[in-house]
Amino acid sequence: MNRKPCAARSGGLPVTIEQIMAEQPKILVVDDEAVITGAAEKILRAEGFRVRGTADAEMALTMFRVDPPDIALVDLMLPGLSGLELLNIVRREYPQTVVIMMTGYSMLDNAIVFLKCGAFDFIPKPFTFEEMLSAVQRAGRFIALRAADRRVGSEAASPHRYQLGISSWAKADQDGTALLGITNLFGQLVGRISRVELPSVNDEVRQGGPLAQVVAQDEMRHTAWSALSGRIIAVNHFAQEIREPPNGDPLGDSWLVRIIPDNLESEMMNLSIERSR
Amino acid sequence: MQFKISYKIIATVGGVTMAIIGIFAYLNLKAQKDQIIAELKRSANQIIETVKSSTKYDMLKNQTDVLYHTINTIGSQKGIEKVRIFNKEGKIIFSTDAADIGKMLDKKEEACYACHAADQPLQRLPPNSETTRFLPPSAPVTLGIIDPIYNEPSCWQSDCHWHSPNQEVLGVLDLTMSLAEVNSVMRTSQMRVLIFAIIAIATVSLMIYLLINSIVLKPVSQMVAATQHVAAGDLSYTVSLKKRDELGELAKSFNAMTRQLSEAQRQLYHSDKLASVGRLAAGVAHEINNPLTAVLTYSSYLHKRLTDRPEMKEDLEVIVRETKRCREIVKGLLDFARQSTPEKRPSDVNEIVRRAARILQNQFALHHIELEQNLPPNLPPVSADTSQMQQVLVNLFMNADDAIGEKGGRITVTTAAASADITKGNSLSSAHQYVQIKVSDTGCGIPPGNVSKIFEPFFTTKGQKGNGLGLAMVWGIIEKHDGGITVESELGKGTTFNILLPVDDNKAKA
Repeated sequence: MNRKPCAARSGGLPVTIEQIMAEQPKILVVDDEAVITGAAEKILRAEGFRVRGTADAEMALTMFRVDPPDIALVDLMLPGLSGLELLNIVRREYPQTVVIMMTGYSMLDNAIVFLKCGAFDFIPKPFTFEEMLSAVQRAGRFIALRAADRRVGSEAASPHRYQLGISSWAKADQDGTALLGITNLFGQLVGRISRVELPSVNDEVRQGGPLAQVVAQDEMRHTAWSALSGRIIAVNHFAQEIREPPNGDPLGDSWLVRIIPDNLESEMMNLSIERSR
Repeated sequence: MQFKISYKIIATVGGVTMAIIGIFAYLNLKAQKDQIIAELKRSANQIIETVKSSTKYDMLKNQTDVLYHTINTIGSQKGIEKVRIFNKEGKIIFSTDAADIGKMLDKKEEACYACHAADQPLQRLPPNSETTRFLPPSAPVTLGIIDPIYNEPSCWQSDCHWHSPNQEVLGVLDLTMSLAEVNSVMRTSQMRVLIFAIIAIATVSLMIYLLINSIVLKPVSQMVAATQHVAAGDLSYTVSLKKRDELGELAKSFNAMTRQLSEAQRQLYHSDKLASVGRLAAGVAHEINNPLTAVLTYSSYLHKRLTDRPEMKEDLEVIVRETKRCREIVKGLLDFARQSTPEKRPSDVNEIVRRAARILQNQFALHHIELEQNLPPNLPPVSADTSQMQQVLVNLFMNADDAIGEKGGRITVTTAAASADITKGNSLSSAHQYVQIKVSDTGCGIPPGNVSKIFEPFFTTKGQKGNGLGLAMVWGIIEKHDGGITVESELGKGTTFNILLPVDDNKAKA
């Protein structure tokens, strides 16, 4: 796996990032199924992370008090406190911790709520080892970037772009269509991009469902979630060609697909102008 | 219950008939009797006149033998009970019944009392006074008629000088007629009326019974049998009553009711099934997600790590791939289970059809399928979630594609504003306006046994290719749109799906 600092806009401070990345993030896995926490602990530990696991939310909060983790992987269904309640407490009391939610498939409505409440990302269950690792990697890089440069995430927000979490943005056009693209930050977190895999024209995308897969040079696939639902009417193939951007902005600012949105007004309510941290 | 209705009607109609016949008979008999009595009185008066005129001469001559003989002769006529002559004191001086002669009449007797009120011999009868009497008054067998014999100059001027000129009334001629014949005629008439009444009532009752039986009771018992069938749960039972009266109407609406009931029940059953499958799927998916996650993470991790054991790597690849397939199945199940509430807005059906058609145009071209679109403009907008409806059409198109198979064929999609009676045969409200979408294919058709099952979740004839949720999902979406979907299919000829979507209310009212 790629442990090198990624191509980032904060390229002027590589030393700091490397210093921070050298110390692997502390991860806490909260899931009521011991087999999940066990698997996550084992695999992430093997990848060099410091991992602990717990089955219930109260215990998790105790562990937060003793030693707040850098990254928390939280299941949606927990005995006692729900995953959402735990997310809110962590966001309020331990804002430095990056929370990744684990949700069942077709719980996209929940996933969107999590992102709105400040979750860094979500992984739909059942997930592969790569899917979990890619999210954790991005979280790790996010923490590193944040430590290196406090301006991270305060990227100049275009007034017409609305974001879903940190992964994608949407922009409504005059003619009723909408443009979807991947945020600069997401590109930065992926690292060196090998290619972007886009859906085809006439495909349907769903808000909170997969929009594109950004494949890093280490072949790690990173899934960006779509900011809106709709049918794709055009694909920006030029965006797929981008590999090594000179300006540190891996995807250039360009849109990836143009869609006919299904429910533009109501889905826009789920998006934010500010990037969630 | 059957008996009660007919008995009630028969009793009522019989009573009324009897009353009418009774009144009619009474009036008729009375008129007949009056007429006969009047006739009798007239002939009695005639007889009296005859007696008086034929005996006048004998009286003047005082030839009592001849006089009596004449009276006897007249009195022996049929119908004449007796002829009597009283003097003015009321003594019977002559009678055809010899036993009466010499007797005194009691003037206080009721029959006499009318005239002899003051216990005085009457001077002269007032004109039009009643001179007849029925004896005995309760059940008369005789009619008596009296006629005073007034004094005339010839009487006291006659040679015998029997009567003095001062006397007003010399005596009274009394004729008693027998009523036997009258009574017997009346009895015959009464009997006739009675027999007529009995026959009439019996006939009317019989007619009513037969009529009620054929018009009311038989259909009613058919209806009762039908309700019992329906109550027992047989909603397919229909009443075969081809009558064009109210009961025929009742049977028609009864059949319509059971039809709608059975349709509603079917839909309810289906929604129930969908809902419970949804709950089941969601539960199973949640339970299965965690073990699948464990399998998937471990296997994918091992697959990544085992770089030096290619044969095991292959096996692990199979495990990863198949677990991912499980994931897709669970995902499909959950997509079906969640079927979010449609976000309805006024939508153009034709646009939805065109969008669905565009999605599949390449596939159709590849399979040599010709898509014919009959989309008339100016259809009223429907209240629909366009993406869900598009999914419905894509599913139907894909089914049609599968049904047509390799050989190629034609899919026809037709939209139309639905006519009012389109709601017959399903449980849709006839108060609403609908737009119809018809998707027909020239494919293999559906075996009759399967037609009722195709909307059931997990019913599939496509083996590995389908998950059996496509049409169940279509059904669920249409139901959430308050619409309806029906299917007609002929094996080897093709299948037609008929969708009805409610017209957007605001537009419909505007």
